[in-house]
Amino acid sequence: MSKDKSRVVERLKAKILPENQIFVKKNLEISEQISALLKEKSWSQKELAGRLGKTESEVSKLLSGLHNLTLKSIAKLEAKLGCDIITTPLEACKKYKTTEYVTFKVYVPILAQVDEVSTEYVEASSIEYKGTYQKLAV
Amino acid sequence: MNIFAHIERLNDFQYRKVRYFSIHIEGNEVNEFFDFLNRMEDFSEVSDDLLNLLVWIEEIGENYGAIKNHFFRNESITADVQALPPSKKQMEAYEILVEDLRLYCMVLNEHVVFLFNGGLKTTENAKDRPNVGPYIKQANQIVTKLDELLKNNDIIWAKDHTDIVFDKNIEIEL
Repeated sequence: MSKDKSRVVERLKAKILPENQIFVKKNLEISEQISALLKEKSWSQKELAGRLGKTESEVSKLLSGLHNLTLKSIAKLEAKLGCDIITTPLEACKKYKTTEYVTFKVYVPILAQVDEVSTEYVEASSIEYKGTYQKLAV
Repeated sequence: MNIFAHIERLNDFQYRKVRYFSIHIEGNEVNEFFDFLNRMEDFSEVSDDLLNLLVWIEEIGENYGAIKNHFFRNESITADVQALPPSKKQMEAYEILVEDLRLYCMVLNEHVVFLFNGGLKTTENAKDRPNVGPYIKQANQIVTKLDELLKNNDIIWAKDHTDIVFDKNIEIEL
């Protein structure tokens, strides 16, 4: 019996496994992370290719979000970029736990008149919170 | 013999950030993208790559947008198939690459993409690519025609350049 060509998408989509979705999702996340790092460093793909000793075409393949990236190639990229591309949740936990304090600025609206809400904001520079924060049990 | 085709919106591939279209050649049972899927469906060695490609099309469509030269490549297509490089104002054919699988396409902007046909690339040299060579040629032909339709306002941008409007009966001569 010949197959119904118009129903090919239906047939293929029924075969998609969670691992296909995870593979593509993670791959695209890695690709986005590399792009963000390149932007931060003002490096082009061509420059990264030069530093990796690869062709521009090979680098664009790595960043396509569909290439089967090996841990070895991720390690090479991390070494050249000088920072992490992937961090496991456990590692991320350790990293954030060692953050002793955070400093942040609070912006509060000035209410010029009671009846009128001003859109003007000022920096409440005198308010500075420092310390180690813990999640409070509710 | 003249071959005619028309534009087809891929209803199963309309996402938040990208709307996908294809070309349906008159007399063929399905559009070019579906033809590609049907042919590749028979190759068990690329079945996983084909499924990944479908997921990728959805992810790009839903969460990323069609970013040229990041997710889509065109250097290998223009470098060894076209006799002359296209002018800067002319649209170009792009390829989506999944290991040995090649799907040719046209990226109008971040929101509108045409998916054509493709195949399995077996060697590095374009001249020795019986499996994909005709589809690269076809993709470049269609891109030139669609570029003309855009310039002649037969394809019109809609919704802040996130979609296109066209006459369903418009014929593209290939």
